Amino acid sequence: MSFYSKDYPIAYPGLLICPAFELGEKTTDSQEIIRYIPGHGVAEQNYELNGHTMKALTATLIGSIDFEEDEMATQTPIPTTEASNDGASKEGDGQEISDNEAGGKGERRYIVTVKDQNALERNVNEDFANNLPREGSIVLVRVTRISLQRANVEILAVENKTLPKDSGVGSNGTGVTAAGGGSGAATFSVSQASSDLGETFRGIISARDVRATDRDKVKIMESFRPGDIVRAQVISLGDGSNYHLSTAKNDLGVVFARAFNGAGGLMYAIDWQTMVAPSTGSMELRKCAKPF
Amino acid sequence: MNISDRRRILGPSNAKLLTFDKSGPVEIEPISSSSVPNSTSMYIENGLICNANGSSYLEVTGSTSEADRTLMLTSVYGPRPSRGAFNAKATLSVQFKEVTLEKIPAGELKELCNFLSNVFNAVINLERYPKSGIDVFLSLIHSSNGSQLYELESIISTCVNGITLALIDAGIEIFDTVSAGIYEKHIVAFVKNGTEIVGFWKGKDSASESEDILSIIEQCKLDYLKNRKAMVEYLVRCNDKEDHLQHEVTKQ
Repeated sequence: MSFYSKDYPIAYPGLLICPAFELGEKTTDSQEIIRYIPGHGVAEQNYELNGHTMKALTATLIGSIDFEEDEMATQTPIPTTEASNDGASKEGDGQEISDNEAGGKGERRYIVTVKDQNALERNVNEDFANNLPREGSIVLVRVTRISLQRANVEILAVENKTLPKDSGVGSNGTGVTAAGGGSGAATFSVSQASSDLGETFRGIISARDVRATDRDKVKIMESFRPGDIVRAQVISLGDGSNYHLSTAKNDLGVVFARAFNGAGGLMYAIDWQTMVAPSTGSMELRKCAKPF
Repeated sequence: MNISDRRRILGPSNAKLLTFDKSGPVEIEPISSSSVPNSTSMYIENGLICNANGSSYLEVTGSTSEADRTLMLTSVYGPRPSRGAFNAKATLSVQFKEVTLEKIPAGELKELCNFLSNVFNAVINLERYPKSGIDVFLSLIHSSNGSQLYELESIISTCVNGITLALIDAGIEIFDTVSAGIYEKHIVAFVKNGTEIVGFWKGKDSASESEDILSIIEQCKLDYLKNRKAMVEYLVRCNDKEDHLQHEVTKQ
């Protein structure tokens, strides 16, 4: 019986889930290979069994185990070099087969994840899980400061994933910070850690990343204002303190904004670069996200 | 524009977000092995500190007497953004504090924190958390060993178990449910069901000085397996109950 169709108990850190490879159905001229790829909450580790080292997937979080077939990858298998080293060793229930033998045919891939019960059925949630922003993530940010070249923002939440519940703690001033720990651990500067209460992940939207067209004519003042809530995409982890973000897509840009620098009412997008406050009728320029 | 200006539109300093919990409090009876003489018992409670990302409370009664008791509260904050140079991995920091009487000398505390951060640097999946710091705070509420003022060894093993539980509660990825086993004055932290060691603390002025190191490890492993079993049982039972409550809520 294949590992992906098995019933699993609740996973806890260290629970062995399955080997990295498994032999599937066998016909006269081909052998199906099943490959398991670690996803969220799962890590690949080396285990020693009867003197052989084999790769196996273990849970790193508590929750239920989920197997999802990766159909895109099934059609175009990507050869990896790390697996072919200990190719022909077969051991216990964990069989390993090198890619050469598989010939790229008849390979199925499954992404193994551990999901928390609370995480299901939620799209944006600020109080669970530890998905930090990474390349490609869509994030919701608040503009804190603008200049001619860039807009500085703080990251509030990651879409479809969530930030830990205490990462925003610093923004209202409660919670403890380690002396020389946490944010200060890298620099060992206590004063730096405690002087800045805004303990949120910060980012930068450069003027050239605001929109995809007419990049050189972008004016930050006509795209964002402090206090705006912006939907943006992470383009790189950036430097020590800032993520680099982009809004150069139709569905990215300002989603919520108030008129008159936060003094007026909530505005609504009427086209991709104009927002209007319905109560006063005043219009302001923004780089708006496509309303849907 | 002043940097502190941007906090103007935030709420009052003590504002807390409204959260509507789906489930009620999970009540778990203490996992105790008091029926077996000469064994330690452990009481576990996770998630007591709501401001932290994850926390655990551990009450360990020692093997020698009822008076030998260690009470430990662990909280995990983070991953938090770190400032300064770019760091591809998370930075872990461990802080230890005695909340009642301060009996342990500062040098020993420093040694203890170093030991614990070494253990957990090997166990936490730090690559998953770039540019961030994870803070672990240990609060020793009570520790006594009859005649002795404190027993560092039982504190250390409680620390290891407590941090593991708090990290799991925080949802921070760890490679294994690491736990420590104690024998005489030696502590060994194991992973992978006792096949790999992530930390070894050799006690001072121990009676078992002449003993073989391998036999010490074997003895510690027995204790480790017992501790780990209790922890895993608690975690699975908690999750089961939550699951159960969740189902009840969805039915209504």
